[in-house]
Amino acid sequence: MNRDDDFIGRLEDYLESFDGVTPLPDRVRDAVHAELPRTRQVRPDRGLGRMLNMVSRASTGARWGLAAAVVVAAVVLGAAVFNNGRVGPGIGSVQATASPSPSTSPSAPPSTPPTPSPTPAPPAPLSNTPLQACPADPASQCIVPGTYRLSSTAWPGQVTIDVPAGWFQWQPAADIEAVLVDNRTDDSGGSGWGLTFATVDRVSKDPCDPAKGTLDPAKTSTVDGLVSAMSGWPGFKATAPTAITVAGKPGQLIELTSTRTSATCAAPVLWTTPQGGSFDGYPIVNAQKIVSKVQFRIVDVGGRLLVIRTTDFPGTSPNEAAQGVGPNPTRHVADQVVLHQILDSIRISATP
Amino acid sequence: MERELVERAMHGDEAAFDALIERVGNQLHSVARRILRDPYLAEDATQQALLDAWRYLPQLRDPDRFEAWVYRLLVNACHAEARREGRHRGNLRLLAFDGPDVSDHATDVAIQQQLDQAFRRLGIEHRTVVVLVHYVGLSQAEAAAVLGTPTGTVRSRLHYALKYLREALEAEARLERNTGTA
Repeated sequence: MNRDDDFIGRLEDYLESFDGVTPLPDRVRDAVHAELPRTRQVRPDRGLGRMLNMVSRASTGARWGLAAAVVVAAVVLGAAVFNNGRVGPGIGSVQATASPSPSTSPSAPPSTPPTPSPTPAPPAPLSNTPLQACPADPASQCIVPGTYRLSSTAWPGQVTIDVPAGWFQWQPAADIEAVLVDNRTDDSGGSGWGLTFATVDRVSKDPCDPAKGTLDPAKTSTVDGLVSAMSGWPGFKATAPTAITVAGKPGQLIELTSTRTSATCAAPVLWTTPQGGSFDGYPIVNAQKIVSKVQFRIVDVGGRLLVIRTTDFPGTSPNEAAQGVGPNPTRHVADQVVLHQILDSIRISATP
Repeated sequence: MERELVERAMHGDEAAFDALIERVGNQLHSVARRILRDPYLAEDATQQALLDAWRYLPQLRDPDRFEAWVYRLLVNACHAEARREGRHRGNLRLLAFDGPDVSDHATDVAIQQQLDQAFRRLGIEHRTVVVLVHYVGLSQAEAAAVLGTPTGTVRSRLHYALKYLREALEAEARLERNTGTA
């Protein structure tokens, strides 16, 4: 048994036995049972039913239009049946895949006949992008190049970026989301190199010692306040802040390094986010003893903080080193150019 | 048999749904306990997921996919509970530590407690992936289907979580060795 097998075995033992047997309590079972008669089941609302529903909700003009469409569809369908002797497989068939996400019925009825909307569709969220094989690592899936937005509604405004070929999404929390490069085959566990977006809630007094608690949020909720807090973290070294703008929003850029490693700082937490995420100290603090310069762009978006952490360094990342990738001082030189293109593509608008 | 129960429940048969709860309720609750690390939140999340299952069951297109579908409802309910709790407490690390319920058969209590402490410090998205893959036994692709995320996202979350847990365990071991030799 190798080291990984041993660790996974311990983890699975822990998951299996630490909480012991945890049957569903009778009070939960009873509560659900008592609610069933009062809870109306939501029936599917599609096909002919949805069309009839639309007709019943539509204005008089729209009803005539829909009725005409139904007549045309009936004529076409009748002709198809007449010509082929059977109805196509799409009509009335049941899809084979599950519908895991509950969806509700169509919303409020239109008060006027529908007209083409001049508003372009918002970009797709990063968490639901089309995927393709990464050009340089076909065994892995990367985002199809395009313009996407950060996924959740937890961000201050709608943040969009242009994602080039060879990058993938990583999202450890609703308000911590990253795009990371994947252009090698020797780092199947991910490069750990790219841009990470985060919001800020409670900032650690000492990222390496959670027992020391967090700073007063009133003092860390501004760009200058957060810069000051980060500059004062024990064991971390921050450059002097530089004034910047990101997508027209004012902010500060600082670069952090640390001499601490995982041996003395096992699980650094820089801050927690409003959605309960923990923004960690990677790659500043790492087990590989690689001194990594990491940049933090801290931006004020309508009174809320948006932080962009970048690994804008040319060498092998700690995450890659942890997978056995050897030191290479120029491994990410080309990626650095692309990273800045992504930074330049950031757009921030009011949340729709 | 389960398909028949699902189909009956889809048509409003409460007895059939009760039978489904008997089949999957314990496992759902166990998964919620491990994702949320809080017995009270886990009960609330399981109850919500079961009620959502009843409410939306007629929309399930393939009765054979009931279990995967209800896992997704459970994960959504767990994340909603965590968000609600996070808003109240502002910090997931402050989730109540209700003490280990250590099995008599546990062979290494100290390691399990260290793992538990590190596991609690993981974000809920990471805990969810670890539980789905290493407790429920789903493949990464199946976990991605449950979560509604790309498989690559599951892979990266799992990689990060395991790396974090492993390093936390190793750091603890080093600390103990150093303490022992001091």
